[in-house]
Amino acid sequence: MGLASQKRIMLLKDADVIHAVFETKQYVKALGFTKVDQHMIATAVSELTKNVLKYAQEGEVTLNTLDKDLKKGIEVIVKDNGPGILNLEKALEDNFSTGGTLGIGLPGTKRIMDEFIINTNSSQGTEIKTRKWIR
Amino acid sequence: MTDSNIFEKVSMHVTRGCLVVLINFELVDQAIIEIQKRILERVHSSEVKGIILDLSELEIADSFLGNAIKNIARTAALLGTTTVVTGLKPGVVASLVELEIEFENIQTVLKLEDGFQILTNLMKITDRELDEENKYEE
Ligand SMILES: Nc1ncnc2c1ncn2[C@@H]1O[C@H](COP(=O)(O)OP(=O)(O)OP(=O)(O)O)[C@@H](O)[C@H]1O
Ligand SMILES: [Mg+2]
Repeated sequence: MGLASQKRIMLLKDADVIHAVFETKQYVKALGFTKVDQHMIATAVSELTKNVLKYAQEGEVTLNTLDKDLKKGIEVIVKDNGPGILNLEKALEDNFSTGGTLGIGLPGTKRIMDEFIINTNSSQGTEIKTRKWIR
Repeated sequence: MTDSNIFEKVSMHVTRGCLVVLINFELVDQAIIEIQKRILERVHSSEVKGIILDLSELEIADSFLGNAIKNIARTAALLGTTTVVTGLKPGVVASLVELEIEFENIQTVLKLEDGFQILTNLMKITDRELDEENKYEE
C-alpha cells in the first residue's frame, strides 16, 4: 500500500472531531483491525483531536498505513501550530490538566496505542505520532 | 448549539417510570453538555424514578463522554434517582479501562430489559418503605 491510502482531515471546528473519528473507524476497519481495536483507535483519535481544538484551535490529522515485514498497522499523526505542551512530563501523567477536565486523554491514548511519540515546542506547536499494529 | 438537529437524533422518553436516553453516535462536547443538562431537567421536573442510558449502539466513549456519564449519575443520585447504563460494547469498555474511567456507583447491564428490571425492583422497594413509614404515622 502506497501513499494513495493516506487520509488527511483538517481540524478547524468541533464537528471535525466527529469527522476524524468517523474516517478513522472506516480506515482501521478496512485495514483489518478487530472491532474492539477499531473502536479503541477511534477513541484515541477523538482524544488527540479534541486536544488540538481545545489547546491549539486548529490543526490536522493524518492516517497512514504501516506495512512492515509481515506486520500491518496504522499510524496517526496529529499536528498543530499551537502553544506547545509546556510541561510534557506532567501532561503524560494521569489527572494533569490545564483545561479543567480530567487530564486523562494523553495518558489514556498512550495506553491504547503501541507507539507514541510527542514533539512539542512553543514556536512550532505539537506533533503527536502514534501507531498501533494489528495483533 | 453547533449541531441543531441533535435532539432529533438523541431520543429521550419516559417508559415505565424510567427516563430512557439513547445515545447512539458520537457527539461534540457541547452537545454532550446540553444532553446532560436536559436529562437532569427532565429528572427534576418529572416523576422519573430512574435513568437508563442506552449505549448499545455507541462505538466511541472518550474521556469527555465518560466523565459526563459519571456526572449525570452523581447529580441524579442527589435528586434521588438511580442511573443504569446498558449495552456497553466491548470496544467501549476496553477504551474506558485504558482511560481509567470507572463507573463506580453506576449499575451497568448488558440488556435494556435488565436495566428496567433493576429500576423496577428499586421502585418497589421504595414504595414498600414509604408504606412502612405511612403505617407508623397512623
Ligand atoms: N495539542 C496540544 N497543545 C497544547 N497543549 C496540549 C495539547 N494537548 C494537550 N495539551 C496539554 O496537556 C494537558 C493534558 O492533556 P490531556 O488530553 O491528557 O488532558 P486534558 O485535555 O486536560 O483533559 P481530558 O483529555 O481528560 O478531557 C492538557 O491539559 C494541556 O495542558
Ligand atoms: Mg484531552
